[in-house]
Amino acid sequence: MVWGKVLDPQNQGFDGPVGVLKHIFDGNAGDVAWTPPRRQRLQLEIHRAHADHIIEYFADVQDSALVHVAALVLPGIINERLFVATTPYNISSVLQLLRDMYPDRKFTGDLDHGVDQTFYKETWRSEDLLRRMGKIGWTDMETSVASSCESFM
Amino acid sequence: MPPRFMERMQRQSEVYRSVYEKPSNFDPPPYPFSRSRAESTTSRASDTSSLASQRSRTSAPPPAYQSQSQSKVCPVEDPSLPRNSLVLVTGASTFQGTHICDQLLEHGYRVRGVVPNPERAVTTAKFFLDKYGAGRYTTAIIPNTVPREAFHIAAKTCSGIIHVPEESEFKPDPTVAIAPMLASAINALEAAAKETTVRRFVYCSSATAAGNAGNGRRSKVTADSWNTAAFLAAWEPPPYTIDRAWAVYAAGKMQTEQAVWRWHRDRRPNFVLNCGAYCTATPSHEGSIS
Repeated sequence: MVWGKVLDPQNQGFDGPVGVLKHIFDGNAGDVAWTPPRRQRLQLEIHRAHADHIIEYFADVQDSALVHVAALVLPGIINERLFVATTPYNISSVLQLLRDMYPDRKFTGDLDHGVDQTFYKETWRSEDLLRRMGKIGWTDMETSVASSCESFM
Repeated sequence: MPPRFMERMQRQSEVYRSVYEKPSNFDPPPYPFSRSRAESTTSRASDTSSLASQRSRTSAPPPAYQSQSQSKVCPVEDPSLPRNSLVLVTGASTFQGTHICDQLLEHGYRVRGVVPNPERAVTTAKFFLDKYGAGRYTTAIIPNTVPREAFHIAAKTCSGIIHVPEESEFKPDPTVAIAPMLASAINALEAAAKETTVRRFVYCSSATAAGNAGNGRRSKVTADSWNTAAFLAAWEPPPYTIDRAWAVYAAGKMQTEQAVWRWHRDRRPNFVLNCGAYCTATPSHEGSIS
């Protein structure tokens, strides 16, 4: 999921990935338990072993936008796939993060979610582009989630 | 009764026929995509053109009354698109699309955003007018991006295109969910190929197109990876239960990105194609899948 600042919360609303975060923030994590990483196994006839969806990484929306701009304007990037993926997460770790950030609020809705075990080998390339665009390092999850939550409150 | 893979290929070819209006001249995906092969076939791209031709191809400068002081100086010394070039951003009112417009404007480019309805056009235009001044952001209202030549007028005089897919509903039926994603991306590519000023095209993909999930082991994702597991799970036989929607979404993302690369390799257009894969999920109706 990409999370981060909502530019125009009055008009834009909370669609898409920010909506998922808003559900977790409001304590309705059960409504978004179907999003990956989830451990539920699909009952399919064949390819049974492949049917989990446990990939989900976090990335900041502004980092992601900057990488797309870099892919557009930087010279020397020709026919490449660029990966933006910062931190693996699941709903429990997001809730724990929210509890650390806002100690005076109650957050409920812990559930048994999957754990992402994927490793994106080539995010260094995107990080390199980010540096060439003048930003050093990825935005960490706490900053990004906090700027999303500011627009909820 | 034909074997199951024949039925699957039949369903796929119907989807491809609805997009391309003819039977596909190649097998349905997944293809093994090799970057070295793509570079050898589509190298010598337009990145190395001289500065003079680059200057002659840029469109007219923006009106002089807008304030240059608000936009940050581009830190890139020699950008392949000069500042003040016009960039088309499709899906400009989505969460990711607004941020891409914002960063482009901040780096001194002009943006034409494709929005689905007039209300979104007014709100985004008003927001960027307040932030960056007049003459920087314009909109093109395209309610439906699926018909052919949908982007042809919007792409006029653009030097770059970033294709951000619209946030779509989650559907468990691959035969209806995947064709619009494919058609929209192919339309954007066709518009870019028709417009001689376009030098760069960025397709905004998803990390689910590459990540191969669910075999219980730690897997590594590289630029050659494809989410074949989601592809196989999505094109299973018909009881389309709602818990398959995520697999269909991931398969659609993967097939669209493969179609984009395939199109670029076959047509060899005069622009550079890059694909950015960010981690995303764009459900527009949460909670209906339980």
